[in-house]
Amino acid sequence: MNLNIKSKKENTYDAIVIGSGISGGYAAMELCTKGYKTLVLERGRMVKHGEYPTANSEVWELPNNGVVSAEEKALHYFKQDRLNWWIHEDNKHWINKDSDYSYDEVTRFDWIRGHHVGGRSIMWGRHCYRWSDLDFEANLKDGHGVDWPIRYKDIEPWYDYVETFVGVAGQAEGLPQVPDGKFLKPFPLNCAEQHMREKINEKYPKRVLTPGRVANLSEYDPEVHKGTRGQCQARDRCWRGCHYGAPFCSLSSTLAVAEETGNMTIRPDSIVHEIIYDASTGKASGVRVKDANTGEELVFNARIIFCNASTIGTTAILLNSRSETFPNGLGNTSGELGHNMMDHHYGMGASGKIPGMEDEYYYGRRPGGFYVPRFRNIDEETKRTDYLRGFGYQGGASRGAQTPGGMIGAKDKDKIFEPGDWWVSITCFGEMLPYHENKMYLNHDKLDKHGIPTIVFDAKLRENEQKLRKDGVQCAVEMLEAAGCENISSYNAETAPGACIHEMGTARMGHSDQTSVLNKYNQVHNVPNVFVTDGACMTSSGTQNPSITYMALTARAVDYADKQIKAGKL
Amino acid sequence: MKRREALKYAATAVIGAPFLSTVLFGSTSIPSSIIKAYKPVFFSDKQLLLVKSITDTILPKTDSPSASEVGVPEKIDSMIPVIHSRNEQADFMAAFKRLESQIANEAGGKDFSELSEEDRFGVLQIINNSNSSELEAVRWVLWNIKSKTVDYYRKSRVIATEFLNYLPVPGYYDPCVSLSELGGKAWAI
Repeated sequence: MNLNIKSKKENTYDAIVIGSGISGGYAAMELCTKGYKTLVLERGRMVKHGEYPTANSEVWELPNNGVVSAEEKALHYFKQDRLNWWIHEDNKHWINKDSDYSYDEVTRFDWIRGHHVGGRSIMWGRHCYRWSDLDFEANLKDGHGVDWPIRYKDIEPWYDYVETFVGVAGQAEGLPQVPDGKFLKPFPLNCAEQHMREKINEKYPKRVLTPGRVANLSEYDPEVHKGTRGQCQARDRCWRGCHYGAPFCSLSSTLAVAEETGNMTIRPDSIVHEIIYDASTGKASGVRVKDANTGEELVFNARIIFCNASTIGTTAILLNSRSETFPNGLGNTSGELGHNMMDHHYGMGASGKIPGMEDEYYYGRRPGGFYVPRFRNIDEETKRTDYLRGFGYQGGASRGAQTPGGMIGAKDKDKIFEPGDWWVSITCFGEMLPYHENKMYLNHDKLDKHGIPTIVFDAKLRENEQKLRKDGVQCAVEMLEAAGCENISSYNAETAPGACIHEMGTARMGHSDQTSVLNKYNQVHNVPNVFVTDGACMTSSGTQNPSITYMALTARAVDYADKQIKAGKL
Repeated sequence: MKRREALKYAATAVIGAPFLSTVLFGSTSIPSSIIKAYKPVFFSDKQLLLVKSITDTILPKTDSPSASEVGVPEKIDSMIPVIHSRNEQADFMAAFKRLESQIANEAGGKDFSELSEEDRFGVLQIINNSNSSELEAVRWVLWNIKSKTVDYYRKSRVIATEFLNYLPVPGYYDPCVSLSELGGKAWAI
């Protein structure tokens, strides 16, 4: 009897955070700095800041010039390798094996995962763009999905708060659709891009080519950028993990700060498969965990639970948390849990040669290119009749290696040491509407190697996305033409949901427990001590890269939970 | 680091590196017995010799090393099974065998590798410039070898660190610099 009490006590914390990626790390830091004894559960292995085996490897030092063999891909990465730019020797240790943890598809879904402490915050793309009321009001205005329960004014101070800590390099442009933030100095446009910016703006004043707003420390202030951060060295090897701590990553920033408080316990190899609902209190009492190494079943208890296991991981846990009160998943009174799956879609854009500027070059490897914020359907003048919502672009101009035509020989050999012409590539990222029909669900008859139900995806692009894509390609070509590009080629190769690695939705925020899973503070409507602040919470997808919004919502939700607890309400 | 200093450092790195290479690499002084120790995994020994002659025709020794001096033929051989599926490998080999016989034809009964550099270049140019639809696969495999040759050459340690602008840690980003200030060379990485 005594033993049981002791065991229960040892497994009890003030707060549990499920997941250690970009939002889980943030939740852990906010909770720990507010004094909560916090248990962070991560399904993958332990990684500590600095444990980046390929961070300094040159291409000639990596096996097979950095290429993962066709055989190994077929054996272990048969699903994720369909995203053909993703798996390399320098980052494959951040990518979980499909052979270890696979899934089923009614329609193709590229589920890109990293199971380790830090999650995908190690290899994310780091672009950070604020959402605006154009996004928060979109569902209400055009009737797709449900209304967001928040507006820009609700999240604005939290963008200020997280951007300051994260460190976002960027340039203020005064555009209402992508509001300016707390920026460090930008990684400026190179000569060719500056030329493009000016030429495009002359012809299309609403199309603004601006330096990408990226979470890399172009300036380092140890008082602000706490943890184990440092100045960007312009190596552009962020996704391998950065010893300098220049790119924002849970390991060097949020988890490092949480660790310093002495309030964090982090437990890797801990697969949360259920949140335990206690009908007598109307709250969750804790979580059920399977130890990935020993198979042991464990229970951890806490006063509040933050579920940040990534969009799909979070919703899988909620769906698997079945009780008498919630037979279809925790808090699933609306039947919307697992539905409204979104991602951004891309694979459409254009490239072209920029003539001239033979003596112009650049120094250092910039950790991000340029961005063109949305310019369609932002006001009456730009309103489209053929599709709703909009798209933005990421791109970059550079001088690649030069390979002369013919058989080269002694005569032309020196040319291969010189940079080639300037080429620009511009890729469109489109919004995806929240369709109830786009969904994920569990297959309780097919269990994974840990005995946990597997996931099935059924989501696809639909008519609005197809029409948007055509315009996205057309506008890309127009911009390159305006910039005087030659040899312009365009492409429109549809990507599967998941491929943008911006998967969102499936446990959306909303006003009512009849139409949504979470309230305006990311609290599960009917289970007030469970919060979801990763991509699962998103009510629409916007066109912006979403991670900074997850972080802002997380900090806001922790602040709310803390105030509720202090007021004796939670 | 100030921009000027860094540019100076870039230039020094390029000039200073050859010393390292003689210590660590010394490509010209590796005993032939060691070079012969490489066992091809895709080509036959004889085919690998032809690949070597082709790559050294495309990138011969000048004031910079030849393709084979920095290990390009071996890299082509070892990488084919890595990057190509079994079906693609079979297609590659079929096309390569046709390239072998086409080269033998154009070489007029002589051993291609025994021809002068100029004559070898002429043979490859004839094949590359041919319009014959029958030679499509042959041209394709030759073009493929050429692309691989240039790619692996530039990605070899010696070429990247000594003949291109190589800076593993640039320290900062400057969006606009003059190419001539960088000695007219491309960045290695």
